[in-house]
Amino acid sequence: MHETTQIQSGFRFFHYASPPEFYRLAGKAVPAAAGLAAILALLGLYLGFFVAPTDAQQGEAYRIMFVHVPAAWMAMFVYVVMAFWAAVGFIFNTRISSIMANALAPTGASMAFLALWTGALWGRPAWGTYWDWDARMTSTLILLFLYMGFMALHSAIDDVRRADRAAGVLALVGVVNVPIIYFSVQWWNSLHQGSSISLGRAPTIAAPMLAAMLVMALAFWMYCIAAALTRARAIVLERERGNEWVHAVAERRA
Amino acid sequence: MSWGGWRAFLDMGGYAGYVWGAYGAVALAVLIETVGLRARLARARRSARTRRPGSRGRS
Repeated sequence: MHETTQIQSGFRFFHYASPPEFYRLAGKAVPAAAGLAAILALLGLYLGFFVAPTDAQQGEAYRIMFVHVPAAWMAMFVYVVMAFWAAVGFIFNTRISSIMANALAPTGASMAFLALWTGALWGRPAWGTYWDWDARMTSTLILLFLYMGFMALHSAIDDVRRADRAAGVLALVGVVNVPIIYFSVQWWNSLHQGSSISLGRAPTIAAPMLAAMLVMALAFWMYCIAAALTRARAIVLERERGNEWVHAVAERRA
Repeated sequence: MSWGGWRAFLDMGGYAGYVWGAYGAVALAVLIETVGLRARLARARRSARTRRPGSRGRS
């Protein structure tokens, strides 16, 4: 045990992966990410409601896009990041990696729920229905269930490290669903429209609309970072409870 | 983009329920998560203060 500590401290990665160091650094990153999220959200809302023009076909209903697309993107992205940290935790047995996977799950689930909810409210005026069992919507619903399954499985196992491993396997298996969601509108006939922007192709929406959507996506991204890191800090304290450094950190704040 | 008054802005061209229903859900989700996380971190700090070091080993 002493030897591995010696070896690990030689790598910066493992240094930052130590719980006290992670707790300290995350504590600095959270206010920055949260501040950026707030500023970007205000800018995005301004662009989305006061700069972007009325849509010729959908009227004002299309403005749901400025929260729907970022929520859907983050639902997929957070899942991939969660599966990545679950895999790192699995391979290197680093505690912080599994804590990150755990910290991301509720935020990702929230994003998946918001993607479905805002999608339903946009679908009604745009297509005449709140819901359709097509590939895009069904696979996004499965994404929400994967997040919920990850959290349920983790909380069902008492031993934390065993729970990390079991939930980690679920996260890794479920990652196949993400490309299915992303490409579903190309692979199957769908009510859902194709991507408005993609690599190597000009965007199919007007510039102010695109700007509002991208700024909102950045705001969502920063929000997810702030939320996940705050949750990770809480989990670190909860799991390391009874250790000298946790007591010292808590005393300092008193 | 000029709305010509708050009433028109709130009406969202007749789609008020859909647009504000979507944005309201996002605001509510962010609010609930933020309040919950602050409470959880505060609880973890409080519990760490009251528990003496060494009372539970590394897990």
